[in-house]
This record gives sequence, C-alpha cells and structure tokens, in this order.
Amino acid sequence: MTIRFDDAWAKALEVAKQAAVSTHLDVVLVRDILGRVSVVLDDPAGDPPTGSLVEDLGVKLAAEAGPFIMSAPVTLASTLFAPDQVLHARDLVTVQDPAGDSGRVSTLERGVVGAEWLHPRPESGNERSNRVVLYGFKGGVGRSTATFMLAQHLAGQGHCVLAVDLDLESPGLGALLQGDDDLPDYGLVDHLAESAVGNEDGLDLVTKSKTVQVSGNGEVWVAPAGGRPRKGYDYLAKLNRAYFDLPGGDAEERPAGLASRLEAAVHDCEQQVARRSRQPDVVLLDSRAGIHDIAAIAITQLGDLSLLFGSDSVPTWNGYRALFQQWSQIPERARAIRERLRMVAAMVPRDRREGYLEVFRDHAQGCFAATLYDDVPSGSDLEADAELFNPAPDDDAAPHAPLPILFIPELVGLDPAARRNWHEIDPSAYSTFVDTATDLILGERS
Amino acid sequence: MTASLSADEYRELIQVALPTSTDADTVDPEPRTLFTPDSHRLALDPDVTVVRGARGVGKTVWFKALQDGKLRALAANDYQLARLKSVETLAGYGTELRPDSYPGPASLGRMLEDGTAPYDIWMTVLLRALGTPGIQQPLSWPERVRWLRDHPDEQDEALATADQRAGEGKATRLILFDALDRLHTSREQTNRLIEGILRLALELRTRTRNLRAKVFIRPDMFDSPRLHFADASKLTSNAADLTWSVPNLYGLFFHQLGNAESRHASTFRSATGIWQSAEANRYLLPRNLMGDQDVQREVFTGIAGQWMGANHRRGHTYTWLPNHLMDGIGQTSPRSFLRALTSANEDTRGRFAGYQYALHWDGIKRGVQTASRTRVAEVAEDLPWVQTAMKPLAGQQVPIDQETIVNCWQEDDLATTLRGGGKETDESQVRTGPRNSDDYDEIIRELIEIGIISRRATGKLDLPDVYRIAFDLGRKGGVPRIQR
Repeated sequence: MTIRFDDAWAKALEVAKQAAVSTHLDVVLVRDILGRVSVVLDDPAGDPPTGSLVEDLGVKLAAEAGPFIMSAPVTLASTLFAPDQVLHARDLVTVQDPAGDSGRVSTLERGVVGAEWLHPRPESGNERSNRVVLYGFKGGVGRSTATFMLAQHLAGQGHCVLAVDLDLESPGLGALLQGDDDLPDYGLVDHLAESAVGNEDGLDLVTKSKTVQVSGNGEVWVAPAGGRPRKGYDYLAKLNRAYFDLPGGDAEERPAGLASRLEAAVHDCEQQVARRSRQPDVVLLDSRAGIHDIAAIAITQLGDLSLLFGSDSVPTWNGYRALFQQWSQIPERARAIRERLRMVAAMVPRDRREGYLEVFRDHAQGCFAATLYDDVPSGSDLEADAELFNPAPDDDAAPHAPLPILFIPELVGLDPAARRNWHEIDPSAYSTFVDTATDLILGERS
Repeated sequence: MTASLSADEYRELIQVALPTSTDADTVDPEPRTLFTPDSHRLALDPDVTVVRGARGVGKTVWFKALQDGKLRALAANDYQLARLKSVETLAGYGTELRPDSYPGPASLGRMLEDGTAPYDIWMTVLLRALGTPGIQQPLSWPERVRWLRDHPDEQDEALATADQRAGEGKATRLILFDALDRLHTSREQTNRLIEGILRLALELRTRTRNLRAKVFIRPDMFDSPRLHFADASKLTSNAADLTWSVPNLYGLFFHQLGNAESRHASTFRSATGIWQSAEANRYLLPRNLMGDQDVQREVFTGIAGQWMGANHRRGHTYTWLPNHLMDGIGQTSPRSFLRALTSANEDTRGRFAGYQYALHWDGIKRGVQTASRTRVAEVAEDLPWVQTAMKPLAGQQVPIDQETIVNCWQEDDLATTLRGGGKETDESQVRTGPRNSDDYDEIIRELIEIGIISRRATGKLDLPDVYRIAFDLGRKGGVPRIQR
C-alpha cells in the first residue's frame, strides 16, 4: 500500500516513541521541507549507542515512512556540528515527557510556513499599548471595515488609536482611513525592507486619519502597508523580500526573524505617533487572512487580544480547528493564548440574526473546546472544576461567544475613494461589536 | 451621591439583610422585606387562576401574603391593583396543617381510597370556607363530603348565595391553593387531586362573578394531569408565570439591603438615589435601581467589583452571577440568587477579608457552587425520578448526542428502574416518575421542559453548570488536565 504524507508522519512518530523506550535516550523526530523524516538521538558524550541499534532503527523508520525518509534516517547528536540547533531549537515540540527509563520525544518541523504559530509571545517589561489583532481565517468578511469602525468608536471615547495594516498581500486599511494624497511616504513594507540593511531610521510611517472625524480628545492614526503611491515607489519589489528570515543576528544584534522585524516595525509606528502626538492607547493590527506567518506572529506574539472573524461555514471552522490544533500540541501554549482570543461573527444576516448566532456560537464552542479548552472530566469536584477553563456554551464572556456584526449589503464591493462618506452607515450593525470589543480592550481602565 | 459604604460595612449589611433561611415555608413574609417585582403583577390579579412557578420563585410567599390584609394592601399599592384591596381570601390548601380549613395528606389519601371524587373534596373545602351552614356540623372531612353529595341542590344554592353576598359587598372571594406537591405521595393520585382543584377553579370562573380560585403550581405539575374536562384550555390561556428577570433579582437584593434592620441601610439608600418611604420602615427602590441594568450594574460593582477575576476578560460580576445559576430554560430562582450572595459574603469574610470590595469574585464562585448544591437537592426532593434518570449519565461529558444518552439508559435499563423493577428504587421515585418511563426520547423532552438539560442549536444536548457538576458530568475539552 502506498504510504502517504500523513501516515508517514504518524508511523514515524510511533517508531520514535519506541526508540525512546528501547534506547532510554531523548529522541527528536525531524521533518524537512519535503516532508521527509529522520530521527536524532541525544546520546550522552562518550557513550554512543551500538551501530546495530542505530541501523535497526533506520531500517524500521524507512519501512514505515516509505518515500518520506531522509537519506540518513538516524543521526546521533554527538556527531552533529551544532546539536543545539536541533536539541534546543525554538520550534521543538515536546510530544511525550520522559517517564521512567524512557526518554523524551520531540518533533521539529523544518523550513515550513506555520512554525510561527508555535512561538510564544516574548515577555516585555515596558508598558505597551493595548495591541489588538483583527484576523479572519477566510478573507472577505469585512475585517478592515470593522477595524475602521472600532478605531472610530475608541477615538470617540477619547482614546488615541493607531491602526496598522498588516495585510501586506492585499492592503486596504490605509485607503479606508485616509485618502491617497494624505498617506505617509512609507509603509510597513518599507520598514521590513529597509531594516534588512539597518536603514529603517527616519521613515515616515504614520499619518493622522482625515476620514475619521473625532470631536474631543480622541485621535486615529494610520500606518498603511505601503507609502503614498508615487512615481518610482515600488511596492512589489519590497513585498517580495519582506517575509524572509534574515541570516542570523549580526554583530549589532540586529533582529533577524520576521517576528522580531515585524515587532520592531509596529514599535516604530507607535513611537512615531507618541512623538507626534501621544502614546497610543490602543493599537489595532489588521492582519491578513489564512495560515500565513504574518498572522501567526500577530496573534501569538504581537497581540494582547485577537478578534477572530468568521462567517458560519464549514471552511471557517475547519480552518480555525486546524489553527487551534497547532497550539494544542503544546498545552502551556494553549493555556496562555486561549483567553486572548475572541470570536467575531461577521456578516450576520439581519433577518435571522438570532438563529444564526446560536448556531455560530455552538460551532465556535465545539471548535474551541476540542482544541483549546481544558478537558473537564466527570468526577471533578467543584473546587477543581472552578480552576479549569472550559466555559459553558452560553457563557457570554467565553472566547467562543461571538461579537456580532450585521451584514451591510452596501459595503460589498465598496470603493472608499469614490464614496468618501461610505462609513456613514447604520451604526446598529456594529454597535454590539464595538461596545464589547472596547470592554475587552480597555476593561481594566474604562 | 453621598458617601458610600466601605467593604466591611457592606458585608455587615448583607449579613443582616439576607435571611439565613430563604424558605418561605419557615419564614413568613413581612411588610419590610416583601418585594414586588413588576413581572409578578399579573399573578396577583384575582381573575388569573393558575400561577405557575418553579421551586423557590415565590409561590408560597404570595400565597401567604395574599392572606395577610396588610401585605395584600401593600401589594395593591405597589402594583396599583386596587381590586386586591377588596379581595377576601380563603385557604384551600397549603403547607401548613390546618385540618379545620382543609384535609391533610393522610385524610386526602383515605378519601381517595374510598373512591371519593377529588372535585367533591375541593367543593366541600370551598363551601366550608364560605360558611355554608349544613356543612359545618359534621366533624370529619369524609362526613362533610358525604353531606355535600347528599345535598346537590344546597351546593348550588350555597355557591349562588356566596356569590351574591360577595357582590353586594363589592368583594371578590378568592380561594387559594398552594403546596400541591404535598397533596399525596403518588403522582397519579396527586394528578387526580390537582385536576379536581382545576375543575373547581374553572367552575367558579364560568358560573360565578365574585368567587375565584388561585392555584400556585409548579409548571411540571400543571402540565402533567391530563386536563381533559371541558374548557380546560381556558385555564392554560389565562395562566401567569412567576418569573424573575436579572433586574428583578438585583432589585430584590437591593430592596433587602435598603430595608435591613441595620444602621447601614440608610447609608445604602442615600447613596443609591431617592427611595420612597411607602409605609413605616418600608422603602421602595428608586425606579432606575429597579429596572435599569446600567444603574444596577454600577451599584453592584461597588459591592463586588466589576470583573470575575484578576483577568478582566472573565466577564462582569453583574451578569456572571445570575447566568451561572440559570437552569436549562433560562430561569434563575431568587432563592438560589440570595443564597449564593449570602454564601459569597461569608466566604469573602473568611478568606478575603482585606479585599477592596465586599464580595470577592472567588467568593462569588463559591457562593454559586453552594447555591447549586442546594438547587440539586431540591430537584432530588421534588422529582426523585430525575436523579434516577441522570445517574446512568454520570461520567459522560457535554455537549452530548441524544443517541449517547439513550444508549446509556438502555444499557442501564432505566425503564425498569423507573417502573420499580430495580432493587435500589424507593417507592417515591416510581410514583413521581416521568410521564412515560418507556419512551426515552419523551423523557429527554421532559427533562428539557423542566430545565435540567437543554438542546443546543446544533441539536446536541447540554447541561447547565448548576446541574452538570452535581450530576457528575464533565465538559469536553482538548487540553488534558495538569497532572499533580
């Protein structure tokens, strides 16, 4: 029978687990960019396992993984030039802790999009603005419009808001918040390109929105994906280079990975607003859709809160389930991130909103419960139960409880440049969303 | 606003204001603490015959209050229900043993065994209460009923006379029935007795102008007798429900605080708006504190803080508390609500005395747990079969498919247990049993009706936390529990 991608991985994992028992060593199962597997054994210095043991393991692995086997199926860590890059790699996922005689089993995915989903959020000592990510697994659900509405609402309450367009592939937030002529000279993509050669200082990245009119002390600033369109400004050339991880940190400890470069870009945008007006109270990050690394970084590492947009459809839930499963591989990660998430039901049909939201809520609950909520076994007493996190389906404070946004047909195919007053729409469509989101963002302060 | 209470002062006030026992059987309502939520107005209308209410929502409170002239007048004022003032009440049945007014369970049981028609029993009770001469002499209830049967003409005449006399005095004579779960130990016999009461009530409505009955009854008991006498639907269409909205619940709490016998009560009142002094020592809530959720939330935030945790995303205290006491049909009983607050207060005093607010969120959680334990004990008492039916489901996790539940029951042969075939079954479980022990889908429907389980929009079944923990079901999750 032909061995397929998924089977190869599952079977190889079994072999790795057996190896941890038989060799008593820590085992790392590595999968390369083509999906091929190999095993690294963490052998103690000066006491390598026997050659026949290594050979047997290699034969077993090759039999199970079929075409998905690397040319050297088993490697001893003691023979590696830089064993830490495997044994203590950032993306290492522990699948089984050492128990008794048996070693630890970990997995390591090499060179694939998606690894960023597993990275923890860096601890930051300094007080930062409240950063909120707006994300949709599937695009086209009105996420940018919602970002606009939320920015406008927060500013109306006197807050200073910075809205950042992280949707570099299909930017749009800039145009919603600002006419072309009033955009800053540069955008996020410039910061990513220039920082690669240490040249990002002095980029003009933010402007105060003229589209949002605020009375009172509130302000809305926008950091677009690209700068003001003009002759000689090449967006694509920079975008093509934006995502790559740069070669390791140089002598000046310049951040290299995409995550730290994005963090630096957002940080610089915040600083620019602080310099030209005041420290933003809230930073809205309009993230691109899909499994892309930018979204991963935004949700796992940049955001204090992530609003997850979706309509009630099978692809939406399959997508979120796949995404959440990434986190549930590492229980601590799941515990750390789940309370920073909140569902948004986008494009809710007005005439049957209640029924729609009930079903949406149940689907969201099922998705969260299966992947991110604590399993609450029967027989747990009341005290233990209260410590576990698994909110009831009807719990309105739960991550799965949707903030509704009603569908507005006029916004389909909107050209903000042609209809500058486009945002003067029925406020009731967004009222629950903006009110609850504000509560979640500023809860402790408001 | 004037100076508000400190956390300690609030704790002291709550302790005095909330009764340790919240059972209307043992605590009589009194003018100071009687709370009149707007949603209960209809239930007091003399023309409303059937008043449905689950356990702990105030059936007995109103049954007692209506019989007390002072409290009735007070309710008439609060509700602008002038007609209540000209009502004369009679006791048809209640928790209290009053063999002079109505037969007790033992006597009822014997009469049913002797083949006495339930309708005749209640007609006898009514005529005796109305002072019909002939029925006063016999000493025992069976004899009185026999007199009634022997004098059919006098029965009609007595009713007509009483009706006419009440009309002359511009009064309505209202016979009240409560505690119908204590009529008889057998569900079947109880149903027969209830049907008799309802037939009498309908008879009064159709045949007299000034004689009325009011029947306080649990919804599941009202639904179970087969009301197959003529015009029975008239009773259903005119029934009222004793329900408690979230603002009602907080209104009740604040009413108790403002009317407590504590030096802090007046401080609380002056800090929360303009309370009306209706009668001596009775103060009515300001309108907005009664019905405006934002105002209520602000006051409660001053007592319990704004959030259910250090993490502000865990929800508002104001909504969290009633939501977590809610059953499957969205009802929270005031008894559970007050009990949770009492327990939260005690717990905070013990464990978080230095907390900046009177009630700590962890104390509130503890309070909810205490209240739900009590709630489950009440269900076990009212509907023993529910416990029998839930037992095979222990160990399962929600949300759950209907099929899984039915499988559990089939494996356990629940039908036999419910019919009394199992050894562990005690008599009362069988007798109060579900409408149909053999039809598992029907049992699920019945459990949904009484709020033990609920059906989600996706068709799956769920248990509200109030019941889930006590019946030993878990909730499905993907993150394994930390091993310690």
